[in-house]
Amino acid sequence: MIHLTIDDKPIEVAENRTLLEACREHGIHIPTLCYHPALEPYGGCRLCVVELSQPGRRSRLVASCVYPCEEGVVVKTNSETVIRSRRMTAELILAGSYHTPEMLALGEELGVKEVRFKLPEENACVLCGLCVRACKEIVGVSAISVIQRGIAKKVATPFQVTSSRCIGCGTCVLICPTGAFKFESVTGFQYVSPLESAYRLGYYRLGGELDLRPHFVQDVAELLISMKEEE
Amino acid sequence: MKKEIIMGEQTAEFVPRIGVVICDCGDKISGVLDTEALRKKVADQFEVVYSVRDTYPCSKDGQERIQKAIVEQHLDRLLIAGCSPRLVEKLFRQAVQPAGLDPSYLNVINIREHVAYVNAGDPAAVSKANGLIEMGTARLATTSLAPSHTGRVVKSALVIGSGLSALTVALALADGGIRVTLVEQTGALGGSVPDLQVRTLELIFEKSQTVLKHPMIDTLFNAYVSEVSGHPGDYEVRIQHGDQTTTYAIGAIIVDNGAQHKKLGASRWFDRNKVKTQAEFEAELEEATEPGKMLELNDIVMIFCAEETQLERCSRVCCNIGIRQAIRTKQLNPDANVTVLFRDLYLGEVGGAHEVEFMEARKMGVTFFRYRRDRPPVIGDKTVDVLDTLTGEPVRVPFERVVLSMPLIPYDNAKTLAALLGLPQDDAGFLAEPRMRLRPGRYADPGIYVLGSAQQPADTTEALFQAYLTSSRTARFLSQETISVQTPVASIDPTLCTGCGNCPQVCPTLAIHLEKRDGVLSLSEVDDLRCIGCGNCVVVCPVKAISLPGWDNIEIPAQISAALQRRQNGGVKVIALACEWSAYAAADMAGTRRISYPSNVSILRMNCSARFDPYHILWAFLNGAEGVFLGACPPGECHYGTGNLYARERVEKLKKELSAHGINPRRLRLEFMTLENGEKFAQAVTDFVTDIQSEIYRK
Repeated sequence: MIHLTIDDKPIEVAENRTLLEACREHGIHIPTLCYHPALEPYGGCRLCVVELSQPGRRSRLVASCVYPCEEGVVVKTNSETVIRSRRMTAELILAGSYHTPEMLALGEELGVKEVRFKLPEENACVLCGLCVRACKEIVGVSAISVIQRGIAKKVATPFQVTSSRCIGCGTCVLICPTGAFKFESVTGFQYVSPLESAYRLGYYRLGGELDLRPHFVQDVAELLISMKEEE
Repeated sequence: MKKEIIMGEQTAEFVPRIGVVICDCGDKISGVLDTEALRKKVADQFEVVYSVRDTYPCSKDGQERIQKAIVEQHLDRLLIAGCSPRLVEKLFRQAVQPAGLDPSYLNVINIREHVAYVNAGDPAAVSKANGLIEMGTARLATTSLAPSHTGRVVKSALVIGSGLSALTVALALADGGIRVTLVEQTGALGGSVPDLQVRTLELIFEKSQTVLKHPMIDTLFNAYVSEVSGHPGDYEVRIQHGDQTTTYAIGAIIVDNGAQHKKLGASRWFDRNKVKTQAEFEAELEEATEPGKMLELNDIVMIFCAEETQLERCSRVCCNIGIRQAIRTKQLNPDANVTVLFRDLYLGEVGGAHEVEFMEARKMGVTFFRYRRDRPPVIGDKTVDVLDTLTGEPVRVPFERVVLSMPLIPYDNAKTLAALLGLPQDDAGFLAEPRMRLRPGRYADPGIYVLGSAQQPADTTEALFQAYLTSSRTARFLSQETISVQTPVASIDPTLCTGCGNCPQVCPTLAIHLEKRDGVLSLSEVDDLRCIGCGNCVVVCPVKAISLPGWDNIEIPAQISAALQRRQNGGVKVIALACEWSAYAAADMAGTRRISYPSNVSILRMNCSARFDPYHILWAFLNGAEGVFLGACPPGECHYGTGNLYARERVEKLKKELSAHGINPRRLRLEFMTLENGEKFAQAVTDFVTDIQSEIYRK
């Protein structure tokens, strides 16, 4: 067991835990965006920063979702530095997504009063990478990835063409925290017309035109009669 | 009990020990629902021996607490009521395994997206969550083990056909050390070569020489496949070869039976001596090239896309053949007037060789007219009338010869192959992919590949690309030692099966076949490795001999009953059967977007709309459901092929029966939606509930 102090509270956690896990375990709320319990931590959004002081070192900000618990450290999750840092991060994320309701709610929670920087092109995708990691770790197909760098960075399929790896499960759409993920960009727009012929073939493959489907008529009638008798 | 009469099955004597973990999710769930009240309620259930609230069961500590509880309380079933199983089920499946609980005895139900997020502030929210938890425990109490299945992979491939792509695949695989059996229906290699190109012919000749000499390739001439059995990776293929039949053990089957140019029949609308197809004209050109001969035609009109269907489905090769023929005509007779009437030109080839040919043809003086789709060219006695789209004026072109580009159509044996291998055919008869949107080039059966023009018309480059793609896919498939199936698969009780033959017909993967029993009767058997677990066979079985763990004939009615037991204050009881790939996910989306819908809808997660059983729908109505809502994938997007179409057909049929027996058919509704359609789900469910309420008032 490891002993540390979080928000002046002495806390005992098992080994191989991150600070965020320790905080969640003890009911301390830390805002996150790129964290999901079903996925490996990513350390991308920097909203989960906490102030960490170790004896003999200057206190510093660390991302709690990837920082492991260490013996004797003192952690502050709501100091002025932490709050200012989170507010700035949220404002910078909002710069590209200043109309997304989910992001606005998050900004409000963290005390962002006004978004001072606004990118000319708005994009609800905040590059948290949840969709990419969910596709890799939960679904196990890796149909999407983060491509390009800097301002051009975005989530896309390899070569930005319809992915053949995609199984169409939609986990990426579901996990997206801002509703930015567009499913068509992965699966493409080519909808197959319903293969009526194939389906007919399946139905009448052996029986020719003979309809061999089960008959519900008698069953329904019998059921209803038995119901009436009971009544 | 009524349930047992209907289902014809008895629940076992064994009483399971169910543990229930109710997640607070920080305060996301506990802030809306009284999770302690939920826990107390579920603890009253007979089978539930352990119940606990947890802030974050998904955390590492939470998982450890779950493992500890399983061991200490000797739990053999576990229910986790939290967020969407689509995200966390895998996590918990991995978490419970070290504690000795089989993952098929784990059930994750969603009280966050389906209740807390959508019914916040609704006094009935707790009762809805309670109903969902009861459904979850009801499923666990009745579920059975879903073992995983493995099978061997034979390192050999069968190639049907010997066209360019077939030869390419055979060589690529054989070079990779895989034994290849090549089956050719005629006496020579080469196939039909629909693009009539010398270059392609040379390539084919070169490849066929290598194939004949290759030690890893067995070539069978005048042979055809007569029977295929077994499962992916381990097929048993009977090949009729001359007079004898040989059985081969094959790992993967590659189909390339090619395509042919449609023949032009006699017609009374035009003079057949003057109107030729491209293939016939090619022969004329060949003849004219011979020494001492010459082309004695001066006015030649070529019409591309001669058949209406080619406008929908490009035949890929005819534009290139036509332009090449135009150039050759000009070379043979520079004074000839060659006119090309086209709808659209397909000049796609890597490197742009066809573009060059097109430019060359224009430089040589070939005239091109584009015609409109609704104003096709009209062939008269001596002239062709066409409306030029550039000038918008009608043009009359005199002709001595009209050359029509006929569409590529599949060979007749495509139908036989489709039946033999369980491949779908599209409207034109090509062996089209069933799920082009999701898995291009992949068929329901992972060991079967179709390529070249057998799948859709392909030019040489496309055929080669496809061939190399397929050979790498096949090699990857065959390089596995064993293949295994983790998803639940159907199994048939041989003592109940009457051998009626319903299930083999509806199976999308041909996983079921009939077997002889005592030489007289027959009974069905499921191939574990081919079954994809859609449940279509379970629905059609008249004696309910087929079971599918997780979505069985006991589990689903038990869940429906549990859902309908909950008391509601004045509201109607509606049960929604939701396909997990569409409607269930759409409900999750509605939750994430906080789009609320009435709380009296209980959502039951189903594997596929093919499993929407009329009996279960009836069961719901007979147990007091006011409405049954069904949510399925839109047609053409079913993950199991055509399950949604079966569902549609069954619902239509059932509606007639319902109205004939005094149940208003409007109480049953099937809606198609995609998984992104959270708004549509909420809207459809709300409308449905409103409709039912008005129906009930009218009574």
